[in-house]
Amino acid sequence: MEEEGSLVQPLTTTCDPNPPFQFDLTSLSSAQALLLNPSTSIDTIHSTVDSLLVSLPHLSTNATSLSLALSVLAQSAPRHPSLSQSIVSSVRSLINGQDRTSSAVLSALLSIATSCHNEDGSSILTSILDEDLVLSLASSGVYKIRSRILRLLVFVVGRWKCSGKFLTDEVMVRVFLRFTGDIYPILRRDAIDGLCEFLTVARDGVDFCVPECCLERAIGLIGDDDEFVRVAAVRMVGLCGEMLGEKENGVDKIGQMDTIFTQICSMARDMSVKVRIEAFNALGKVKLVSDAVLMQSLSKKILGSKNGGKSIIKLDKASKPCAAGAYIHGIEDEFYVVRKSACRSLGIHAVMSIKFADDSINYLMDLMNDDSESVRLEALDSLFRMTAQGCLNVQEKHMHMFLGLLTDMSSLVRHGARKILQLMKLPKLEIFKSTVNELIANLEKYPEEEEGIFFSLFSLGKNHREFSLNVAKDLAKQIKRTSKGDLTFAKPSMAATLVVCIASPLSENENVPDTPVVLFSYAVPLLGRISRALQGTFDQHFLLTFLLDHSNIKWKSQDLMPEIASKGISEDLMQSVIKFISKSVGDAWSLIKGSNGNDAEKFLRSCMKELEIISLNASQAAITTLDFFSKYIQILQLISKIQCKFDSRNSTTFHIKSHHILLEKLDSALRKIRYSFTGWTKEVECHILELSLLVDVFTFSLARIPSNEHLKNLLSKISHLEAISCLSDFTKEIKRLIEERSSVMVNLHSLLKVFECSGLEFVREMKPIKAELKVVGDDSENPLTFVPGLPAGIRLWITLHNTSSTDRLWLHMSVRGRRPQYVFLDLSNFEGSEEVRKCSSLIPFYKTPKIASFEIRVCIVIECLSEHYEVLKERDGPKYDVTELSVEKLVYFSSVKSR
Amino acid sequence: MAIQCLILGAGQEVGKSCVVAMIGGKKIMFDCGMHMGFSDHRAFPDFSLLSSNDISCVVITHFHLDHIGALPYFTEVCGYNGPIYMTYPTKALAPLMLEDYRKILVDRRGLEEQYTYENIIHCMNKVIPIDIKQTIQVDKDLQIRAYYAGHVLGAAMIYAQVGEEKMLYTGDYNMTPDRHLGAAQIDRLSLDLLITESTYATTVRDSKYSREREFLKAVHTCVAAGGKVLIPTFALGRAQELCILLDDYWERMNINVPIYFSAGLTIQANMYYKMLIGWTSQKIKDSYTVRNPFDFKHVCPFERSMINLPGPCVLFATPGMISGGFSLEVFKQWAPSDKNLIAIPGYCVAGTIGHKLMSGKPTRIDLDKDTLIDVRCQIHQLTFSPHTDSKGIMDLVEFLSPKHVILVHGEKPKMAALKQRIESELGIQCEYPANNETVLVPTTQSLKISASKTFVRNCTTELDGDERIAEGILVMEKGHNAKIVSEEEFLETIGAERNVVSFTGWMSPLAQ
Repeated sequence: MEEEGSLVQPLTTTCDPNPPFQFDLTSLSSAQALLLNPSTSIDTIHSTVDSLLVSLPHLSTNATSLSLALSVLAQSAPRHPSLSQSIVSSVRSLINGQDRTSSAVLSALLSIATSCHNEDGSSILTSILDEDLVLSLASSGVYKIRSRILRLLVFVVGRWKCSGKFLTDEVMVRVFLRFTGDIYPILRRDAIDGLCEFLTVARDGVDFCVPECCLERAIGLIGDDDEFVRVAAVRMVGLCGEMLGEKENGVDKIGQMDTIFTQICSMARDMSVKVRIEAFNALGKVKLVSDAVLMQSLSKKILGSKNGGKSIIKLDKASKPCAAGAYIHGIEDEFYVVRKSACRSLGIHAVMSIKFADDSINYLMDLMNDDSESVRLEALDSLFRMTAQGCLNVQEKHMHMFLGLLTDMSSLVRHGARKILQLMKLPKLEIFKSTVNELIANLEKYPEEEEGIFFSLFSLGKNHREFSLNVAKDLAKQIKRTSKGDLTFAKPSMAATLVVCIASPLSENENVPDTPVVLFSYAVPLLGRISRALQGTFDQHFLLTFLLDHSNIKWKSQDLMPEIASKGISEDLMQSVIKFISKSVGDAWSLIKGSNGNDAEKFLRSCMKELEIISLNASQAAITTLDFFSKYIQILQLISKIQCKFDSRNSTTFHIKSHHILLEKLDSALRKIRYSFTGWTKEVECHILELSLLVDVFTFSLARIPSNEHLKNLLSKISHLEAISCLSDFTKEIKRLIEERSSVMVNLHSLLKVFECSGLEFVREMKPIKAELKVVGDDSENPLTFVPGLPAGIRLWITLHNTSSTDRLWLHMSVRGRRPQYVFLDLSNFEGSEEVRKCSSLIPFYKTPKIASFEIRVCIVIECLSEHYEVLKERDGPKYDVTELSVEKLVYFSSVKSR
Repeated sequence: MAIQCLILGAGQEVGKSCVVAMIGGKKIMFDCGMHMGFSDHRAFPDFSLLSSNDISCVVITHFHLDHIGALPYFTEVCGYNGPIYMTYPTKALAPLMLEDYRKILVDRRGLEEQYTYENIIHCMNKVIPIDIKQTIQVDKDLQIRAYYAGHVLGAAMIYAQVGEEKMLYTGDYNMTPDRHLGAAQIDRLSLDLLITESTYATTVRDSKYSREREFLKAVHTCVAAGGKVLIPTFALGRAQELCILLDDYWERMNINVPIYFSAGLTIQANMYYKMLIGWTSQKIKDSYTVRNPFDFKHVCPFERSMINLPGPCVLFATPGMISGGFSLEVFKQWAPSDKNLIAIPGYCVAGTIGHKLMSGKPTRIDLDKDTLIDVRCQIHQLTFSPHTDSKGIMDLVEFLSPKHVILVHGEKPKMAALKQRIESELGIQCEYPANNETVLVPTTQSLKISASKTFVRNCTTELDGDERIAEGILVMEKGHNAKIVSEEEFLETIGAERNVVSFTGWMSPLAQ
């Protein structure tokens, strides 16, 4: 700040009538530093700028200092917009000075204008420039002046509409046109860019002759020696072509467009890549081109019919067949960007002319073999647009290459190809069949794309009624021939073919009587997969009803179980869903009891899958029940496994350790089910308790000499059961055995036989006990900071559902390889009711390791108070076993030093 | 002033390319090739027409024998001692080609060699390698520059300039890129003379994509049905192009059938390609940042014992045209099965098995008295050519717009047709001289004139609409550069004063 003060001192003297402060280069650079420094005070800035402005006329003798002063002012303008106007008005007088001065002024003006908000910039220029000035500057002999005034004009023309004009449209166009003949290529290019900008901005407002005039000039420049001029010229030809095509006028439009198109085509063989790209972009803009010329652009040989169109523009090369093979060269180009651009513009024209489309499809299909993926995608895009417009006429010779795309490496290409197939009209049955086969190959190679593939197959079948009927009949014959239970029908190809067959009956109710009935019944088990692919087209319920209606399966509408609508399972249906599932579970029990371990496991696994699918569409209330069942089935799976082990215990391969692991798992699964739900009915609670008794029995029989602890535990559970309701046969039997002091193990089988699975149908009105955990301000990209060895705080948002005030909840935090830390959650700190409690708190983590970064796993656990007491080694931890209530969250930490 | 062109070879024929151009008093020899169709004196250009010491430099465009075959003879036997220029790849590959051919000539055909192995080595030691777009100042006046020509690895077009006289010799070139080489690339040069090849002077080739599609389909169908595919090729060029095509396709379609390269020159050739990535197409250069595209993923070396292994495969075997060697051996084994496919890329000389297969499908080929080959396999013919077609030639001529064009390296009637087109469509004078003919091409002399400051100022200020008219006086003095000055300056130099003579008409009313 001291420096600032010292400089301000002499500056203030400038306000005196005495001769102003003389800026030399050093003081100019100090002024620059002051103006650019963000912490300089407003007053200082104002006085610095003022003194600079006052000294400007005196500096005009020294061109170097003057241009430096101007550039300092120009640099400061964007930072302090309020000063722009005063700077501009004071440099106004200098603009007509020496060459160097005026070029410096112009460049200062340009940078001030560009830094302003859109409207201000051009209004500043409007205030200072007028027609005479612009014309005199534009005809200056100095390159710098010409280039800067041109750039100013290009800047202004981009904002033409929103500012006052200091030039009429006509003069503006004339000035630009003049510049297109400048000897400097960069000015020629800028002038063309300016014209393009003008045409785009004033699109509808311009007179018809302006684009024509520009076009004539641009055509004259497409042969320019400079690459950038050619690029700009080609762009302008395209733009003019586009505008002339849109405007209504009396001339022979097709002839005119043909000429423009041909002119651009002649640039398709330019040696510069940029020109070629621009040429193909421009070709896409020119519409209304005659078929003859378009066809010529696809053939290197000169075609017979000449374009008869007359042009209003005099062209020296118009007679030459420039268009010949332009597109061929484009799609064969060495550079993929050119090929891509050619491909896009080819697609644009193909949509507009059927004749052209028929020919160009050959080339677009051939591009499927291009080595660049983006070209292939562009070609696919063009083909898709053509298909959508109905001008894609595929032939057999294309299909090998096209269908090859379905097994392409790139998923985008495969997706693009399928999108086209959905709309494609195939001419022959053989092609149809090979397409279906190729889609099946796609499915076998990339099963993850099943939904998309099924949808394509469905659309294909829908669009080709006759063909799909044919395929359906073949399939029916095949089914008849094969014996029942043949596993070939489980293959994905079967499902795929079925989708083709049912597509047309399903979508239009046609072909229904002709389609073999057997196919509908075969399609029923695939309902889930088919309906997922047709999401948004058909409702699953509708699909099922349709399939059952047309199949030979006898059914009543009330059998339709479970009825699933997109809105979720209604409460009325819950009853039947539960009935259905609990019945299935009962079946599973009988399998387990019958020692059919493998069958039971298979059955349970499929049950699990069904549950997953159902829960996709289930309502919130239903999800709780379904969640319960999925946890219950997990328990059953474990029991079935353990039972298998016990059966094989007599054999030599008996590992006591694996039993323990399984039992441990079962125990924890049971704990989880007991503490994850609330609102039990008496029956269910009994059943769960009996299950835990069963676990004890397993443990009991495993231990060679059962401990008293075990016995006590068992007895306490039995007494608990007695308190709730009358004892089941199973419990009675255990009680008897304990009292008789006979070995439980010996009677394990008989014990299991009396175990009954009941009470599950009463699973209702259960509420889930769960917790949600949200870590505030942390992710793997932006970890929390910590000082190694010192406690670190984690801000958590905790939401608890259905917890009672007697529950003991803990926050479990662990770092890999270390003992966990528990933090007790005092429910009194939470807001809300029993249903939902919320709290945000800063939890300390004490044992931060001395490393650069680490992650903590955080979750909320509940203490299982009714479980047997076990002294945990943590001093400040839960005394009983725990079970998780929330999903585990990762919290990332990084040391302060490493930041 | 004029450029004098002596066509020593490839005049109205294909073979032994050799043009000696005298430009601005300097004699440059473009290419020094041999004719493969002859083994007598006609194989080499008639060097007796020139004195080897007159030649300022020899420039070779690429390593094909019809462009370089006579070079060791010219340097070592005729005694040319001046500089020889060729691109880096040409310098690397030319000795291999020359030595290979010399061996075939001597060992197989038992002919007398024209130059020895030592001659080749000695000759190559004199070569100065050049890079694309590198300008070489051969001597005080003469400068040459190479431009990318496509065609084969390292092929170049040669630009030569002496003073204001400029010419371009294209050698062989390709205007459409292929899978491994780019298209010819040139700047806008205001040329006096363009000497261009005209192999396909009347052919207009269609898109290469359809040919590629047919080829891939044939190969894919064959291997999918468990067949074997034999592709007899020469080591350089086609083999790599087709291999890139197949390797890409294999990759994209997840095909696991092996592609084999027969041992020998091909593996070595691939090594050269790997090293000379900068001379390949843009695509190869782009993908080089990730991996070398000549490290083919699906290609493995082949061994003789694998010929009869079961299962599908694709094999590239040398030599092309099935003229003998390993490709013939494999052909004998594979031809009798109708599952297999023989794909013949490019042209085959009459008399070779390749030629027989291409000219109508034979069912039996008599190799010699004792060997009969049943041909039941499928035949696929590929017409891939590294030469530009007539459209390409026209495009190049149009782009360069030289004042004169000379056609070489083509067939006479076709050249005549092309000459007609160039003259009528482009309005450029064109000739196609025969061997040993000399053509004189007139050049325009342009003169450098300096302009005085006042004159330039006048030019920029005196504006008249879109046209700029400036008046000045051209001063040409002996011993001085020509100069254009303004009127005032001129008066000052000659020390004259401006006198204005004005006439005043006076008419007496009495005169009537």
